[in-house]
Amino acid sequence: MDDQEEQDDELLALESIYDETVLSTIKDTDDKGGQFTACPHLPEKFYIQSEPLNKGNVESGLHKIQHLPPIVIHFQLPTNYPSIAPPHFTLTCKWLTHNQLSSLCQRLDELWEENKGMVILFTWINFLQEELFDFLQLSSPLDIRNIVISHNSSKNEENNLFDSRCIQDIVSQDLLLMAILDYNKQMKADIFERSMFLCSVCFIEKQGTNCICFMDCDHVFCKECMRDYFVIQISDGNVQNLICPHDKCQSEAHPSQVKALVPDDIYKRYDDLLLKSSLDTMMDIMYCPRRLCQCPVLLDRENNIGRCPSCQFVFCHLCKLVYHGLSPCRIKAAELNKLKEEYENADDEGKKFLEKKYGRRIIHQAIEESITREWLDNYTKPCPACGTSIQKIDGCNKMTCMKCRNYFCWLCGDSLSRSNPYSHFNMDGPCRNQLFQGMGEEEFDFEGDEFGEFEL
Amino acid sequence: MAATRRLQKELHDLRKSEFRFFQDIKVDDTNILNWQGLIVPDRPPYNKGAFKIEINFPAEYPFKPPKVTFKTKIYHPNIDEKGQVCLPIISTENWKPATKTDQVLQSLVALVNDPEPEHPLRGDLAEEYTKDRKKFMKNAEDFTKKFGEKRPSD
Repeated sequence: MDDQEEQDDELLALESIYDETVLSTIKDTDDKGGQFTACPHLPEKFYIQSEPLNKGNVESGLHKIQHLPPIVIHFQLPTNYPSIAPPHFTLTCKWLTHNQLSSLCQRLDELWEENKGMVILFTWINFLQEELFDFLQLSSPLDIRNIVISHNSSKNEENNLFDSRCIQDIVSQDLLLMAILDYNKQMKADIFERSMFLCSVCFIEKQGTNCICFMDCDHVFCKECMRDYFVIQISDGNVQNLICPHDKCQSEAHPSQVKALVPDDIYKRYDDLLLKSSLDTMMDIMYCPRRLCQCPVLLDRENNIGRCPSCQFVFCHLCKLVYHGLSPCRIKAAELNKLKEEYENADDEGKKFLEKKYGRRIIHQAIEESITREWLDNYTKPCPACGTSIQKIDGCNKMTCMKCRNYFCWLCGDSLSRSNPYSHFNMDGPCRNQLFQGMGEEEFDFEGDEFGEFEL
Repeated sequence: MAATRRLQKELHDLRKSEFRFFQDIKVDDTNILNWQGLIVPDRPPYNKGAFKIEINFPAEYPFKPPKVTFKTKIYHPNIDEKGQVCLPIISTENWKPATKTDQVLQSLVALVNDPEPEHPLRGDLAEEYTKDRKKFMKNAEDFTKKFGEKRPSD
């Protein structure tokens, strides 16, 4: 077999082993060659050491990575390869020093010397792919702090010192860390999208493109399930609780993930509720009483005054009416109810008189307020810790406040112990054995005879 | 409905696994959201019988937790006269959509086998359990023999 045939056979063999993502070949009669992208396999826990952000703490420069940018070998086959001459080649890499690249070139030369006259590309590729780390004695953490030599030193000097077949494919040391991290992220995303995941909510196996990954815990679920999950949680007002569905896992969904999955109106509710729940915990904030404004306002507690930054409304935070200086509030909350009754019982003339006396707006406010209050009185109870009105939808009488997570008893309204909230229902007192009192009696009836019949 | 598919799979796996402590699973073909089955405890005093339970899954399952009720009377500090049981794993605040029904059942069986008198639903039984274990065991065993379901042949 002559050199040309051997070259053709070798390229053909390589093409059958490696796919086009790592190997590309040129097979013109007068120009044969190609390039191979070698991706070194990294150990399970692999770190790179960069310049620490915090000088005193070396660990602040450690980054865990799964993929390093590849080492690329370009090769060109001279007409007398493999009988006499080796392929011409260059090695390109971002994260090896010139010294390390030079010693790799020497090793490839040695491999050729040992196998002179035979095709060598597979041996070279195999070496770069499998033995690189051992050969260069690299281990985790890989120090990347002094890889790139500044370009200030003259070209001649560099050429003298280093093998001209080595190419450091990075402009400066400053860009190296970012380049490695970006590559790692991109590779992880590519692999994620190609992989299959079993969603443990719907139990269906789906491709990564249809899945999302919680960032802190790496648990993966399908997008469809997470959309339904988020929509239900947000609709129920549980915006603090968009956490990984995995058992006991507490990692939160990133707002950008929520936004990408749920419909716009639901996202708006999520965003609003999230802001509201953090504002609600701040005692000095209330919403502008103008119904169309509702902008959060910082209160001046000492003077009972609020100044809306959006509509410029200046109001008394007690009666929510326009600020009235030192004079007492014109109408107090309790009086609104009286006013409402008076108004409802009055004849047309009386109604007109009241509207004139207090203003139509206040009358309407009185009516609405009292309806709201009536509803709240009938269906909700205040959390003893934060005062939020809590409605009981179902479950037992051990309540959990949606806002502050405090436990309280639905029957007597007392706060319950954080560590053992149920003890309240066992201690002597009115609530003893009343944990389930009042909930859907009829549907829990036993079949058959009465429980009390059994005699001890 | 997402619930249906998942419940079919869970039911299939559960039946296949031959879980010893939960047997005789009955599911109405027209309503997969309602399951019935027998809890078969292996520890005294409840190993003298078996206990019928009902699991109700909400339409929003698995985004909302299932509810478990005992249909057979049981003399147990954590299960009240109406068959209601407070199981932390399926409380609204703790529920996780990735929790499977077999985990719920395992946690239920564990509670049946090992009562938790610290947060009982029946204070009187908890008191008896803590203060006079012998009497409790005797009462619970008699009760199980009287009201318990027949155990499936082992």
